[in-house]
Amino acid sequence: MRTSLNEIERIENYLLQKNDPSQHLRFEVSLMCSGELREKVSQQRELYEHIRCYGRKKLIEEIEEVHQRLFKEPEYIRFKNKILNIFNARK
Amino acid sequence: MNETRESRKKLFLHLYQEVFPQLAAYISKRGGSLEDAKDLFQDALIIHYEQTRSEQRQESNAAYLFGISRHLWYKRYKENKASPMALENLPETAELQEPSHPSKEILLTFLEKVSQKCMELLEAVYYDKISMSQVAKKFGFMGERSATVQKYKCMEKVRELIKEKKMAYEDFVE
Repeated sequence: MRTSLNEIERIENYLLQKNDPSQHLRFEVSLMCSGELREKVSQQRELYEHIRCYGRKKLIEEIEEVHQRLFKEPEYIRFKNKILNIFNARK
Repeated sequence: MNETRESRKKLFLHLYQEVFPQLAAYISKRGGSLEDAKDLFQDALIIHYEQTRSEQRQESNAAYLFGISRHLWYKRYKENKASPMALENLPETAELQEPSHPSKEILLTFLEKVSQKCMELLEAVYYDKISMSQVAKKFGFMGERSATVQKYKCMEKVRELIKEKKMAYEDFVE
């Protein structure tokens, strides 16, 4: 693997806590010595956050699609009426 | 990848039909609206998914899902009663309503447009928490090792894209 990819792997092991204590300590020493590495660690942390948001966004889209299907497609009309009746009965 | 989405939608469709009527009755009895029931249920589905995704047991767990929904309703109701404006900033659910930050939305749309394959791969690994051997199978790699190398390549690529986008944005703001 390319050096830059190995570095991403090392940062991942640190951030996702896959290291044993001595590896962890060694990585923290490298962090203290290199501003560039610190910058990359923070970029990678941000990257994981974006991936999480992306995954959740996709999940929300899928759930909404299912909701729309149940309330719009004729196949599910009985389901839809059952739900609407629950709320209409109260009025 | 589509296989994951399709089987997930099938599961949601099943859970909706099994749990939502019961929840709707519960919420309606307590003065909530259909919109309340929908919001609660969708948040509960996300929580349920995120809690069970890595266990490879995506079977329907209706009672558990109903429990989460009821808990969310109780929390909202209680906090809403304490302060009428509190509905918008609930800790557990506020976290779920995050895609409101416009620049974040723009960035995610951009990343999907220019690097969809990578975003889907990274999503499968880090959000869906699918094992590397399954990832290899799904995305057509020779094995775990080449899937892992591709994962790191994608991370490098997307990281650079984010950096460029941020720099372009800063130039624009200055």
